[in-house]
This record gives sequence, structure tokens and C-alpha cells, in this order.
Amino acid sequence: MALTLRAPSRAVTRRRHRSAAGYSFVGAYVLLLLAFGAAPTAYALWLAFTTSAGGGFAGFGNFLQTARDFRFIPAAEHLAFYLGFWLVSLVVLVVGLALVVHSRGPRASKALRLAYYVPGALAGAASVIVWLFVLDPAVSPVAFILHAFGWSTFDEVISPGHLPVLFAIMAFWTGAGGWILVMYGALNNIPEELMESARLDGASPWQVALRIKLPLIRKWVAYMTILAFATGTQLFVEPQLVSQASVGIISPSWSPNQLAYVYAFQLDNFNGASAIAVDLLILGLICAVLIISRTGLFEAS
Amino acid sequence: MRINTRTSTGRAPSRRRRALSGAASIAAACTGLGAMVGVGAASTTTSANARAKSASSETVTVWTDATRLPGFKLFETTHPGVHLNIDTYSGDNNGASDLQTKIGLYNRVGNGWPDVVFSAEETDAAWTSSKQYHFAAPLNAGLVPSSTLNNFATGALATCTFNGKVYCLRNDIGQNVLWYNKTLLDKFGYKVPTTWSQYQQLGEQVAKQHPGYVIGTIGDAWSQDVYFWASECPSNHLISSTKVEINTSAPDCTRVANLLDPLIADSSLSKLSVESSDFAKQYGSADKVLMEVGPSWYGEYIFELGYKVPSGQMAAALPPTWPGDHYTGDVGGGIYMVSQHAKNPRLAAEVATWMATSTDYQKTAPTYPAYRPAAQVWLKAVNASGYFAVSPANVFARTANDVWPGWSSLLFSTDGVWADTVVPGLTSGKSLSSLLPAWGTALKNQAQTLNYSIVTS
Repeated sequence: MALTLRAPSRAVTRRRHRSAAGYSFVGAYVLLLLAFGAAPTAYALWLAFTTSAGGGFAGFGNFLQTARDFRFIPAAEHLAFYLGFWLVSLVVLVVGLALVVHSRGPRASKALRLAYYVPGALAGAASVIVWLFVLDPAVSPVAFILHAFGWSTFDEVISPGHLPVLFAIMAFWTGAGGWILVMYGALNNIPEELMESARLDGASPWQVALRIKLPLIRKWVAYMTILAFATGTQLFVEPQLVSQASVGIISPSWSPNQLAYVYAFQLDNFNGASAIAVDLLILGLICAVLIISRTGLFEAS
Repeated sequence: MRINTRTSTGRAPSRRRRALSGAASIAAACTGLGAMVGVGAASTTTSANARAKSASSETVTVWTDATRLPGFKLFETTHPGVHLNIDTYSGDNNGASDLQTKIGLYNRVGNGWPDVVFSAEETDAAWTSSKQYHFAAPLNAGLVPSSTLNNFATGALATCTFNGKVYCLRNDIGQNVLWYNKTLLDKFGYKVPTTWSQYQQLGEQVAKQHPGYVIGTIGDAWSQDVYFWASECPSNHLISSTKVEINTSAPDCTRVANLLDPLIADSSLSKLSVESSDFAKQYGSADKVLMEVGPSWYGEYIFELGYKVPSGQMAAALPPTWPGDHYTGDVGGGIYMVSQHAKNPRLAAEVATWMATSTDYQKTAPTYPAYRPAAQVWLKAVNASGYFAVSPANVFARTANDVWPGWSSLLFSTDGVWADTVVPGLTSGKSLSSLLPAWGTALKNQAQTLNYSIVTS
């Protein structure tokens, strides 16, 4: 009797404990989300639709003002080129490299995993500093590559036409490693029997990768693309630091996020800055909605 | 990449470069709505405000860079009745712009302002005195006696003056002189040019007889302040605080481009920045710089400490002149400003004035004092330094009063516009003349955004 009575009550407390732990984890997350995600977003929305003088309703005034700014279109163009290079290289190379790691033996893949991860472990700004050295022919350890392109000075390397590609390379180098590991983890979830049977049916490793593995990690690729697009549109650190290192050869409003910064802190126009921030938010949301609806990211399989 | 010659010495002279924003901005980038979340960055200096409230009325809150810190400390020891709350910040050195960021944020919350500010960006008074920021107090309306103001080098306060009101005191000036390597010049048998046309002839001669040597650079963010300022080019000439003359196709601008284009083409004028590692490697440390028109601080900070040119080789001459003119330009020079919101503006102005004019402090300053009596004492140290082949003291003293006063501080960085429009064009092989229209358009675009009315003549 005593046993049967005690057993369920213990289970209940355990369940209660478990749910308390769950709530405290989620609670901490929700707090941070509210403080650093939702509240700034709401504040930005409020600022974007109000006037700087007095705070009255501004309609789309701030959006029109910033879109007509002579720096807006060039910044948008820079961003479009950058995103083009970055997203394509990210998706193709990350998936490709993850498949390579996954098809190697466990020992080789361990070493490769570490190699991919290390650059990502450096803080963003620190890795850009590393790149400043790599791209300066006077001090670069790979100066011969730069010379092979016909670039003998730093100013030539960072000439305006090269920038989207350079920033894409920097962002890839700092950000792709983590994604390769995520993809690798996703690939590890594919049941071994599935690939075994594919191999028995005569599929080559290439066919296994393309026909079996790739479709099964499709949702992960979609997830990565959404997040990468959102971070990509907020490009800031790379142009800002390279601009600083080059004493301003690169415009301080090279990317839209930098333009927003200029609006806030050099033009003292937080409303205009918010309007640009909201532009970027909307862009990210549109991309997310498109990808989610096209790939069925949230549908239960 | 630029080598940072000055910060490594710990005695950074003030310099103008506002094209870029400070490292504090990086924090803002990492967040979702990057620009908005940067608001948090201001918290570091609010403690000063709290302290100011609790202390007596004889407390002044000061913001300075590390280089000027010993001066403020000296003020405290010589003025026992006054307590300074000193906060060090970037000082807007090397292109940082955190002063503007912070004042903008304090204006939003309505408190937190410092009473006295040092800024290495000599054009900062343009925005601090603007209606929008409304931070700097006019000093010539009772706060600083005109006898003091009149003792600054001629034209030194022009960058502080808007609509007849003086909003800052210059700490130092970077008047341009002609730096030359006497040893090399003697060896090659060249004479120091005294006019710009002689300068051009010399450049063409050097290109033929000694290729690989240079007589200057055009690739600095401040090269416009060297060549175009000296020629009185109206690229940023304020008529009133809201009306600016921008005309880069004026004869005083085109004559500079026409003069320099042959030298750019034959490589006797480098397209690199004097602070770039490329320039240091190819010319600076390779002993290939014959001469360079540049500010008074180049001698110590570029040639001696940067390129390590041996003692007894470098000398300075008066900068080349245009016919019938004697003007030169200026690169760098810090300023002191007093807050409109200061509880005791008189005391705050006293602190700022002491810093800019006190011989006790200025004689130890790293760069040329803008205040004439202090400069006379400072020059004795230059005479005693023993580094130069000929002491540049007389040249410094003469050119200090020759800076053209028509080159104004605007609400945006004209150096930044030069750096991101003209310099990349030159790097890609375009001529300076062909870039003048684009330079003018970029300046006008910026000026329009900031509601200047623009005139072209």
C-alpha cells in the first residue's frame, strides 16, 4: 500500500521538478529575448514611424527620407552583391564540405571538424583583424597570391570593385565552420541502414550524397539560409574595420547597417536609423517566409 | 593597413580623421537591430555625472584623451581649490567619433554632459555648436577674454568660429611645412623648391634621374589639406554657419590638379598614405623620401619614430607657394570645448583656457601649441632636440600664422569624402583632374543631406 502510494507521488514531484527546470530555462531565455530582441524592435518600430522633433506620427516619412538619401542605393547595391556571393558560397561550400567530412573515416573527420571550427571560434572583430594582415601585401603571409592577381598595395587589394567578394570571403571564413559542424551533425542523424540499403542497390558514394543525404538535410540548409540571410543583411563589422584600417578609403556608409549607424550617431537622426533597421528586418522576414513556405521547414515529416 | 606611429609612442598628437567610427560601434553591429542597440554603449561615462552631483560646485567634469591627461592632472595640482572629474575616452583620435555618439545620446536623455571636452578632431566644433546638438558654449562672449583669443596663431581659431562666435580653443596646430632629407638632397645636388612650379619641375627631374624616389604623397585621407588647402581651393568654404561654398572646378582647385597630375603619372608623387605599411616599406624605411609637404608633427612622428630616418638628415623649409600668396594648409590640431550645460561655465572655461594657453603644460606637449606665447617656449625644446639637420623652429613659427582661414569645419568629414571618392580613383589610375567633379558632387551630396545651402562662387 505504502509503496503504491509513494510511487506515484514521487513521479509527480519529479515531473514537477522537471517542469520547473524547464520553465526557468525558458524564462531566462524569454527575459533576454524581451530585453534584447523584442523591446529594441518595438522601440525601433516606434521611432521609425515618428518624427524626430516632438515624436508625432511620421507615416512613411522616415522611410522615404532614408530611401532618397544619396547613400542608400549604393549601400543597397553593395549589400546585394555581397549577399549574392556570400549566400551562394555558403550554401554550396558548407554542404559540400560537410558531405566530405561525413564520407571520410572517423579519424580524418575529427581533424577536419576541428580545422573548420577554429576560425569560427575567433570573435568576429578579431578575425577581421587577421584578414587585414592577410590582405596587406606588405605584411601578408600569402602575399604571393595577392601579387599573382597584380595587386601590390593594400589600397589596390581593397579597391571598390573587390569589396563584396572580400567581405564574403571574410564572413565565410569566420562563420562557415560552425555551420559545417551543424550539417555534419544533421548528416549523422541519417540512419545507417538507409545508406547501407542504397549502397546494396548499387549507388555510388556520389549518388548516396546527392540522392539520399542531401534531401534528408534539406531543412537544415533552409534553416541556415534564413539565418545567414538575416546576418548578411546586417553586414557591419567587416566594412567598418576595413574602413578604419584604410583611413577611410571605404565609405563609412558602405552597407545599409552602417548607413543606419551614420544616421543615428553622425546625423543625430534615430528615426531615420530606425527606418533603415526596419527595412532590414522586413527584408529578413520576407526571405524567411519565402524559404519556410517553399521548403516546408516547419512541417512535421 | 596603416601603421599607427603615434599610439605606440603613447603621445599621440591630435589629428583630423573623422571618416570612420570608433571601435565602440562594433558592439552595436553584433545585434539584431545594430544601429538601435548601440544606445547601451554610453553607460561608461554616466558615473561622472553622478559624481559631479554629489561634489561641491568647484568640481568640473572633464573628458580627455590619454595624451592630454597629464595636462589636466597638472591643472589640479596647481589649482588646489578645483576638483576635476576626469574621464578618458578615445578623444576622437584616429577617426573615432564617440564624442558625437555620446553627446547625441545625452541630448536624448537630457543629462550626462561633461563640462570640458578635449577632442583631437579639429572640426568637431561644427556639430557641437550646431542647433541640433547645441553643446559647445560660445567663448568670445565673456567666457574667454579677447586678449587671450587674440594671442592664438593667426587663423588657428578659424575652424572654431561660426557666425562670428568662437566655440573652441585650439590646443595645437599642424601647420604644413616642406620636410626634406637634406643628406639626400645634397647628395643628388637638388635645391629646395620655394614655389609650386619649382616643386613640379623637381618632381619631373627626380622621376627621370632618380626613379623610385618620391617628393610627397597624394594618397592620405588628409592630402587635400596639404595641397588644396594651401591653394585656397573653395571646396568647403563656409560663408555662414548654414551656407557653404563648394566649387572644386574653381581655378584655385584645378591648378593643383594640373600641377600634381604629371607627378602622379611619373610616380614622383606616391599614391599611398604615409602611414601605410606599403609606403613605409617602399619609401619611408627604404630612405627614398626626398621631401614631403606635411604638418609640423611629421618630423618627429613620421620621420623619426615611424621611418627611423637617422639623426642629422631631416630638415624643414617654408612650404612652396603659389604666385603672390603665402598660405599653407594644416593637418590636425586638437580643441577644447566648454559645455552649454556646465553649472559653472566660468570655471569650465578657465580649465579649458589653462590647458590651451598655460606654458607650464604646453611646453611639455607633443605637438606645436596654437597659443603663441606657449609656442615660443615649446620651440626651445625643438631647438634643443638635436635630431634635425637644421632646426625647424623658425619655419614652424612662421608657417603657424600662414594657415589659410577659408578652409572651414563642416558638419561632415571632408577628409572622409576625399578618402572614399578621390583616393580609390587615384589608386585605379585616374588623374586627379578627372576626379575633381566627382569630389565636388560627393561634397555637395553630403552638404545637402545636412541642410547646407550651397553656392558655387
